[in-house]
Order: sequence, then structure tokens, then C-alpha cells
Amino acid sequence: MTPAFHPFFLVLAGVIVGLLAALPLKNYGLLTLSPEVTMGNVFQACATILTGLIVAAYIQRSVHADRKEKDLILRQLDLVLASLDEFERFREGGKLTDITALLKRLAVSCKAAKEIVVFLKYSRSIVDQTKFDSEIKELRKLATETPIKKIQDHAQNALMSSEVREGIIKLAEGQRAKFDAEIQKFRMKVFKGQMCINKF
Amino acid sequence: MIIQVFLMLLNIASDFTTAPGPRYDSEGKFSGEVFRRDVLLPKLNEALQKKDVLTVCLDGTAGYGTSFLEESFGGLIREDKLTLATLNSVLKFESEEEPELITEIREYMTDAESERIKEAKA
Repeated sequence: MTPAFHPFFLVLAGVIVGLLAALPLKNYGLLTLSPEVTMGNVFQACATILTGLIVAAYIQRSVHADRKEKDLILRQLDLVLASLDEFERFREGGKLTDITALLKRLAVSCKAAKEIVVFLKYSRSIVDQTKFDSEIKELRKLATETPIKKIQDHAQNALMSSEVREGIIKLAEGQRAKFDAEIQKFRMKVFKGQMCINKF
Repeated sequence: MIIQVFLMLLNIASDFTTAPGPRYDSEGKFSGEVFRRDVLLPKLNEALQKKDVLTVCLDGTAGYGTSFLEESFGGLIREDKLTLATLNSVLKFESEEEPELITEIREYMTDAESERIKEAKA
């Protein structure tokens, strides 16, 4: 403990604050309370209690609505995570149209999550945490891009180029590691988004 | 003087396919190469002739791969020798489902234009 917070100093500070606070209040000792209670007093007490109950009910309902809104966003982000899990099937490639369909499902889920966050007027930082445009673009590129012919002809390293035959894409070795890393990065961003929403 | 601009619409889902495929015809069905050559370019030439604007609707398909989009729209500059300025004046895109695709397509066209300029200088 630092000297400033030593118990002795704390007790001393408490005594000084207590004495200072008592100075302006010492005259109020002369105040007397009337033993009579009027109908007005009763009405006033009832109104105060009623107001308290209404405020409590409003706060409770507001907290409940907030929880429901959070659950809605978290469920939507769970759908994003489920789509990301499905990408595990395509780590080495697969039917191109299946991959593009999954990418679209992912993009639509992300868009829905972002729209809910914007609609509920969450802060800018949370909106940014639920914005996945660049991640989707990168994933699309890694999972579906094949080289332009003249670039392919000059390619020194075939390991870096994915290829498509009869609509089936085979990811190049170099692409696979990047693809895995991108999925992991994407997942982390979704988790961070979920944590931010939970804290809010 | 009144300038009339008519909007021409090209819906990829109804005018080409709901399942866009790879980059080249040799790689599989419904490629970007076939789309550009047989569907997009004729419509684009028609729009240029009529001084219209061609709106390409991207919605309604199962999804797009990077190569399909790059070959379709970047290919207009690389293969068909159109300029980015011409394309910007005649091509418009719309997508409710995946609006970020529009930005991607514009990037592919800009990249293709940069490549074209670089090659012309070399």
C-alpha cells in the first residue's frame, strides 16, 4: 500500500470530512417534525411510491429489450461463424459454385448483422467491429481467384496459382496457408465483435 | 436542347445464369469469358451506339467468384481494349444483396486500366 492510503491517514481524513460536514448541519437539530399527517401528505407519499414503481418497471423493460437486441445481434454473428466453419470443407478447393454460394451466404449474414447494429444505433466502434467487407473480399480472392492466362504463362511458381477444371477449383499450396490464416483472422474479428456487444 | 438518356438493364441471373462459374470457358460452364463475350459486350456496344447507360444487376445469382468478376469487367479493358473512362460513362451497377461487389468490380477495372497504361508505355 502506498503511504497516501495508509489506514491512519484514511481515518484522519474521515474525521476531518465528518467535522466539516457537521458544521453547516448543526442548526438543523432545532427542526421539529409535525405529528399531524394530512391527506395531502398521504397523496404525496402514494404518488412517490407509484412513480418509483413506474420507473422501476420502465428500467426493467428497457434492460429486457436491450438483452433481446443483444441476443439478436449475437445470433446473427453466430450464423457468420457457422458459415466460416463450413469453409473448412473447402480448404483444398471444391466445386466453385458451392464456394461462391457459401461466400454469398456469408456476405448476406454479415450485411444483416451490420444493418441490425446500425439500426439499433450502436456506437461507431461496434459498427466497425461488425463490418466484414474487407475480410469477405480477401476470402473470396483466396478461395476463387485463378490467374489471367498471360500471367499464368509467365508464372515462375505454379505453387502460387490455383487452377479450375470442369468447375472444380484446386487451391494452390501457397494459397491454402493464406486461406486458413484468413479464416482464423475472420473468426477472431467476429469473436471480438461479440465481446464488444456483450460489454455494451 | 434536351438530352434523353435511356436505361438499359442487364440482369446476370435472368440474362445469363444463376450460377456464375470460373474465369475461362475451358475451366467450366458459365464462365466470365463467355459472359463478357456473348452477353455483356454486345449489350455494351448497343448502349455505346445509342448513347445509353447500361445497368448491370448483380442480384439473384448463387454468388460470384473473383475470377468471374475480374474476367467479365476487367477483361473489357484487357481483352476488348475499352478504356476505363468509356466504361465509367456507360456502365452502372446495382446490387441490394452484396453492394460491396460493386466496389470490387470497380477495383478490377481500375487495375486493368493501370496494366493497360503500363503496357502501352513499355
